[in-house]
Amino acid sequence: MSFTTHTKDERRAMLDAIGVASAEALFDDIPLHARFPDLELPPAISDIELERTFRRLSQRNVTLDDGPSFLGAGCYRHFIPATVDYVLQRGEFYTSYTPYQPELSQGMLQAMFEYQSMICRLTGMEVSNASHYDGATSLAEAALLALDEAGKNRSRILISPAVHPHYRDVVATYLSGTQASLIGPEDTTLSAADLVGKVCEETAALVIQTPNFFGYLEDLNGIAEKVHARGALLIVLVDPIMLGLFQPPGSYGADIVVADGQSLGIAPSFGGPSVGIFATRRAYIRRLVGRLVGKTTDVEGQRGYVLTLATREQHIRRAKATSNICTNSALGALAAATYLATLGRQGLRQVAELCYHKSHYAAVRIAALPRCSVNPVTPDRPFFKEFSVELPLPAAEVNQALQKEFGIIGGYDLGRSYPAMTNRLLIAATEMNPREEIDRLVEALEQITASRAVR
Amino acid sequence: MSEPTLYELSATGRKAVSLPECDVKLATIPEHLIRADNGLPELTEQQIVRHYLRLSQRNFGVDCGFYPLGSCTMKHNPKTSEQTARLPGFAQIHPFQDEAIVQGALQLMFELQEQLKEIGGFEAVSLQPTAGAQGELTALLMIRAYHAARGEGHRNEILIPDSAHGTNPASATMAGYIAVEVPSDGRGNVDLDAVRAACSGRLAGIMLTNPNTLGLFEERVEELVGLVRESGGVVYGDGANMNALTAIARPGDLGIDLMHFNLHKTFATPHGGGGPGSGPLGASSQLAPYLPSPIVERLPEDKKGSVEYTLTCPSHSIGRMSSFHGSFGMFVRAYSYLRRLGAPGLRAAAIDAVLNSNYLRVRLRDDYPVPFDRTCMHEFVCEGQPKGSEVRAIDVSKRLMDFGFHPPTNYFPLTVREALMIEPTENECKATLDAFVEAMRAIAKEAREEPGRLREAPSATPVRRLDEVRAARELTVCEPTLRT
Amino acid sequence: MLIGFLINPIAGMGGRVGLKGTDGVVEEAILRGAQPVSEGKARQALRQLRHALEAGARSSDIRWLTCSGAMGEGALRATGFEDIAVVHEAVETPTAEDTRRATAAFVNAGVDLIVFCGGDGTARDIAQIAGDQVPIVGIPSGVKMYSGVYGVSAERTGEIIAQFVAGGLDCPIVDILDLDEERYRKGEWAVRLVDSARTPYQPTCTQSSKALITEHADEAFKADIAEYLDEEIRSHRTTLFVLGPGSTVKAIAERLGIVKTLLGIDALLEGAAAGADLNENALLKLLDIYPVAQLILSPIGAQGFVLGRGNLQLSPAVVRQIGIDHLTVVATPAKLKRTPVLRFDTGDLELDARLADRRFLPVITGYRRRRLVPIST
Repeated sequence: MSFTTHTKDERRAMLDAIGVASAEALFDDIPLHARFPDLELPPAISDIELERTFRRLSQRNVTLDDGPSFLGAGCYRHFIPATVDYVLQRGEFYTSYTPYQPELSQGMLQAMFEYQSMICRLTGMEVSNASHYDGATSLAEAALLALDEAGKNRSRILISPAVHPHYRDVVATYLSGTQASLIGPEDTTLSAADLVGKVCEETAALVIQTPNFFGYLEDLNGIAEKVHARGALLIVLVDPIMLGLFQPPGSYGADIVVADGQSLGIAPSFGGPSVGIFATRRAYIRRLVGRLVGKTTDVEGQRGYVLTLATREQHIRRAKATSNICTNSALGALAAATYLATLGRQGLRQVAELCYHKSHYAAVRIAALPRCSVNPVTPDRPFFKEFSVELPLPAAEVNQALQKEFGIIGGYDLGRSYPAMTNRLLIAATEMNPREEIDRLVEALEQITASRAVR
Repeated sequence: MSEPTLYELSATGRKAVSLPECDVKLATIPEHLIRADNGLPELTEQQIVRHYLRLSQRNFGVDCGFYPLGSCTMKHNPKTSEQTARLPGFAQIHPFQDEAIVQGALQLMFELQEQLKEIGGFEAVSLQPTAGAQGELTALLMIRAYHAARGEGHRNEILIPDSAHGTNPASATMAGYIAVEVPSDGRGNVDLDAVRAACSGRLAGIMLTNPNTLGLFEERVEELVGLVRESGGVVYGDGANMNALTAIARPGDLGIDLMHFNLHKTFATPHGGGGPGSGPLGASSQLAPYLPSPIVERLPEDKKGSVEYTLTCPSHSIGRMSSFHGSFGMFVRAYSYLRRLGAPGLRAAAIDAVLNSNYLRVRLRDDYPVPFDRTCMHEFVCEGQPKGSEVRAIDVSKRLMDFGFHPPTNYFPLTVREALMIEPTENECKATLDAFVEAMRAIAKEAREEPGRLREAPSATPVRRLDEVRAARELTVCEPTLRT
Repeated sequence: MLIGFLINPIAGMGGRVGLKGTDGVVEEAILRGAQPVSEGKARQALRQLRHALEAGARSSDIRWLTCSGAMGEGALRATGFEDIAVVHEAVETPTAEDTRRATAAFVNAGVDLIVFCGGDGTARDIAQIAGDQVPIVGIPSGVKMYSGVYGVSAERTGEIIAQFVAGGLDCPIVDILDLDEERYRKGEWAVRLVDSARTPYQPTCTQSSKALITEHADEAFKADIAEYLDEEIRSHRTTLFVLGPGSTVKAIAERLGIVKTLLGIDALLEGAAAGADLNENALLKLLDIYPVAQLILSPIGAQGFVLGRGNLQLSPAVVRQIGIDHLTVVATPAKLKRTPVLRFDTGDLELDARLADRRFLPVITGYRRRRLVPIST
């Protein structure tokens, strides 16, 4: 199918104006042997076939709406208010480009300014950029900022082993081109206080996730002071939903706060696209990469917004690291802003409370099962939204049984990331799981573990 | 009139959602961890809807009008693609679901990989990178790993033509390389003598944008590629300008080892006001083992059970570049576009993109000099100072807004003074192009006769020219905190 | 804001009548029929300044200090400026001494900026008095303008002044160059680096991502270059580094914590000074003791001489001793923009030919950044 716009006569007139006999002649600079290849692509299909083909293809996937789901591990099913898609579908927004011409982009610029404002308040930080690609790349950028700030002699990023394993991978890939390195012990039960002891004169930053990958809320009071006393920065990776209820990292002295913003109104969509939240202190505003929107006035004194400190974008002076950021995730940030505005002060707090109570309800009930233990190593540590369950058989088998026999999408098989944890399942419960679903999960787990438990 | 901010509209106690009562026993929340106030505004649904509707009316997208922003390929974003991406079977799936229950998603990724391989002439494709610039960085990290594996880790120089995207040198530095800028010759091509002078045992590779940012096809591309390869370097192609070459020429056939595709340019996924993008990376057989993980593989008939498509990690993968599998939502849109067009449709689109651009070039060049005035590809660069006038490219751009057009790209590439970079795309019909030409000509006349009008433009936009100096000096980047 | 303003009314007159400069040959220029050009250029710049001030909706709050008549007051009044105080009475044919006296009066009054209309001779005379303290900006009007203090045209200079008044510009240190006109008129290139000065820097448009004009101050590029070479110098402990003249090279030494002469050739070893303001003999002696050496140089802006101008101490013998493969050339992107080719003129044809043999020289332009620049053959 071709969607050409010109009539035959128009085409002729255009070619005549250019002075060529045919449109093909415009490609004479291309080596002849490589010009106009025959591509083996599937034939074009009509719009009706397209709709049918894609619907069928999509139906080969079991969706999170098809039954109860308890999968989290960095990507969550949360309620998305209808306002979000209403805003995202405005063509003026989603078919625009980066707001380089501010007079024609006031809408997006103001929306980004408001996003920055809400993120600052939510995280308790002074500056937020207009977003990165996703949580993992935000964390990688945070590591680069810390290395830049720390100077030549500090070339290590100390990362908690309880930070999302994929995020650790991404940071490692980003640092593979630099002289800096990512280090971290393997013991996932180490607390933030334990890790502070490992900050040394070569450490640029300590990275802590809270709630961490296993759902535990880290006790970060007094940690920043200790990290600073040793000359390093504290980077905190958070779940933005948690910030509706719990103390923000700004209140306990974090230097950089990053998060994946998928929970804020973005569909899971097989893990992408998402939006990367990045907030920091004002002192680092010139080291902050990515877009930043500032308020100003026009020649008549009217309020307006522009991209500011553009110099930082790619000419940012960084000895060991630099940034090539070009795009951000503006549409994701727009979704997050609409979500936060819609949920509002009370709504986000309520969502956080529901996640807290439901995950605790599920944990308490599963802990009561004879062959399961919840958060087995440190059962008394507080957690949020997620917890792990030690099972008497491989988590992969349990997940399969949950899916096939009960129509439940189970948790995350921790053995996929931590080889010693093949029997452990990471379970998330959110406001989207009514009590009845949790009860079904508990019953299913009881039956599965009773019938298949290995000796 | 300016639109109030969310915080200015907020009042204590307003709500826009109704959430369920808690239906489970309340657990104890540690008191000392709770915050008093999360600082979010409070509004009604109607306030929110009106607010964002008004903001949208203060924004310009491709849906609003002609948007010839060079190097960005602002083509039409088909509404069918938006629909398919919103199908629950694509939107409501989790990246950690068991592979057996996401075969549709994996199949889509696999088929997109296959089509991009065919279009680019590559051995393998990874969909990991979430943006063009990330695709560049990924490619450079792969080049690094490739040389290291061959015991040639000392190669530390990357050649970058002076007309390249600004992201290129930044990506090179980020990957630990020395960026060596190569001048252009008198015809707007990369200076081959300079490349020859730079070919040495320290050469790691070249970052080549072809067609280049002047919109010109490198006339001696194969000689250039040969020089770099002979001295042991890897040729990376920046796929930002692929819209001119889709189904016209395959970069792999020209000797390109690595290239990222911009799904948000070439394959019509929306730019979204600056993202999310998607920058899948194609690689030749030599470089394919280093691609970022995961990629999707199809199991042979005898090995497939409930799983036919599976995620795998290339043998020497540099690792992961994004949280999960890349911008999947964009894969769905791009794949819809590809299925809708097929090979003939893709070629027709590329031909019209080039036709439209050449048409504008010849119709504008009397008023706006074109420094390298030869057949261009999907875009061209002219001087934004109309002949016989003293105004600047920025003034022409701002005045275009008053005529209802989005301006072209300004001051890029830097190799042309007062540059205006114009990319009409294949979607625009002749009437639109002619209207644009008329506007540009009228502006050129104004520039000569009453330049003040240009310097004061725009006047028909929601705001007039903004004080960027003030923004940078005051750095008001969020609303002042109201409560402590 | 207090701005000192002066016009060199004879600047540029030599150019039209083929005199390659007007120093000391004013009478001859007038005899040949030269017409004053600088007053007109000054008015163009001032008109643009007025326009920019009005367009920016900023009330003009400039107070001018200037010289009487053709040396400044006339042009200011003609373009509608009113808050003017004359601090120097001009004579009919002003000399360099008038420029220096007026500058001294500006500096004593505490001006924020000195705007002049002239060429390199005028810039040199002002910089001599103003030093690195008061920024200066030139409306280009001379015959030769190699120094880094000019706007690209009279109108653009008006814009720079407006931006400076608005508070949006940094003032990096740049080189003041001047030709030896006596030799120049005989057809010889003899540019010398004579001084340095601060100037409001309207950033060159550097490319950021795609559609954005982004700016980067020259000073920041110098810092990037310095940071990179700092690493290189520290990682080659036994190499003798010979540093040429100019502010870009000086910034490298400063980053290492070493005081460097602006115009001289200095040497470094193990990160410490090993000799300052060295002549040919002193250099050869040092090279006898430390045979492994690296020469760091910056070309002279616009004409592009790397060797043979302003650094004659680096004789063919010195260059051979160091080795032509041990030459590191540094320059900011803005300087390279004005400098399309590099030149070698050591006076030793065989050596010049070998230096030019590579056809392109990688010039360090930033942190781990180079640009290949053609060498004139």
